Amino acid sequence: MSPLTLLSQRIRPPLNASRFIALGVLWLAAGVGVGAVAWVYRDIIALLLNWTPALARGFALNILMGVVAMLAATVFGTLLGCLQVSLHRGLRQMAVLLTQLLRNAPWLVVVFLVMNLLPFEFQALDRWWQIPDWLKAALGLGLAGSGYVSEIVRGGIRSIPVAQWEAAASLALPRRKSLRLVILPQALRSMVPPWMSLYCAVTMATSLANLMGVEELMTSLQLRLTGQTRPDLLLPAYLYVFVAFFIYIYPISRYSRYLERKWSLYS
Amino acid sequence: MSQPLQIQLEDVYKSYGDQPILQGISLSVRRSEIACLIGPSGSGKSTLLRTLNALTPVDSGRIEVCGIRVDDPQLDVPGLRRHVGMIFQSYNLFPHLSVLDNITLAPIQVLGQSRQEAEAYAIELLAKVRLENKQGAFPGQLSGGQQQRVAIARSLAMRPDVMMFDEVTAALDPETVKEVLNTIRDVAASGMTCLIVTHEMRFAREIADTVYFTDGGRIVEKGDPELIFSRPADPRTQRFLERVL
Repeated sequence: MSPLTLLSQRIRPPLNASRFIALGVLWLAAGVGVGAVAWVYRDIIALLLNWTPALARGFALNILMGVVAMLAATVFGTLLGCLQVSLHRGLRQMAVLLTQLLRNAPWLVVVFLVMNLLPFEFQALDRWWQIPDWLKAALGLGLAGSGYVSEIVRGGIRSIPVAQWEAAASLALPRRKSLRLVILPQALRSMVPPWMSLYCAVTMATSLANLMGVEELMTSLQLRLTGQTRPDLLLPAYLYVFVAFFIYIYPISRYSRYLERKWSLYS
Repeated sequence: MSQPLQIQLEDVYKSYGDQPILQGISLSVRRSEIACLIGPSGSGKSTLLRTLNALTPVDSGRIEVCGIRVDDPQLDVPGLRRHVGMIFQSYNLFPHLSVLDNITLAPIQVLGQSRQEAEAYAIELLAKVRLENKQGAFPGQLSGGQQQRVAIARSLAMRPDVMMFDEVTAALDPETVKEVLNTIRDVAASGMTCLIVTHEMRFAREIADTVYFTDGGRIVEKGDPELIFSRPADPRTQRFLERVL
């Protein structure tokens, strides 16, 4: 027997009867434990379940803000990232500086800046439009995220061999068309996994909008908690938020890691 | 030969830092002429080609290609490159595009051809390089020789006046070298002006109108292929040919 098969057997021994029973007992014990805890805290669980429809609306706003923020970050960050490889020295330096500023500022600070920079309402098409707070917060997060997108795009562009630029140039394609039609489509593959990780981070950061009074999951939970004045509710309530985010984020982050592995193997 | 000059270099110098690459190159090629550059690696052959389509800017000297001054600081670079096709050692096909899209990309985007027009010509060219059944294939599914022939078709789709080949068979298996050389023969026979950097001495001898031997960034010897290969005048050419033949 080779050392490799020995090793693999140590990791995953054959499933014999006694092991099967042991596993069953373990799962049963865990189930009984969870059941017991649920029984002790049954009123809290019932209360949280009762709140769930309202809290789900809050969480939907988190997801919407995450999507809007990521859209903004992608549009602005892609522009910044492309400018970071521009041949025009002034544009390039400006894009590099802005990217570094955005990447090294706390997200909350950027969000507050944008919240205060954007007007409460603006006039267009002969009427006044209000900008809701959730949109302002999402755009703030988008600006913060655009620094990261800029770096992802720059790294993606740099990962494509110079020979591809030269081949495109030799066919008389101007630089911008080379970038758009030849370089970026190839760079996409290396950009998607970090972009998805950023989406996860941005979605989690939408809970910061709680501090601006946007009625997302955290805010709507806290509103209900203050109505109860029960300190024993705090821990399970925040655990609830924790689990909600985890259920949404974890599959995405697993999928992005899967893509990363798959594409690095077959490239 | 009374054809007009299509490529002219006069006293061209280029160095990277304090590493001289081209040290006073002068050369001229007439329309429909087949010029082969031979010489040891690092003698500046590839750099010479790259200066002609402005991939590599020169330090000094005069370059004129198809009547366009390449050393002009106001040069319309894409305008120049429409006239000059270039084939690379590593093919450099676009891996995310099918064979057909590789060929039609530049005619559609640069020449403003309709997709229909560009595809019709692409199919014609694919037949010429004997790959008519590979339209929908992606570069990764093709052999090296097939990829290189697609690269030649892609370059021809721009209807260039000059074609440059930069050691295009150096990365190929011996048995696929032949199919690529045959394709170059066809291109040369069509009356295209060709500038060919190659290590295939027999091919150079057979196809060239003029052979240039370069060493140390200079053209050491030039002339009729029969003359260069059978009775080289310069001792450096003699030593090089003894080693490779």
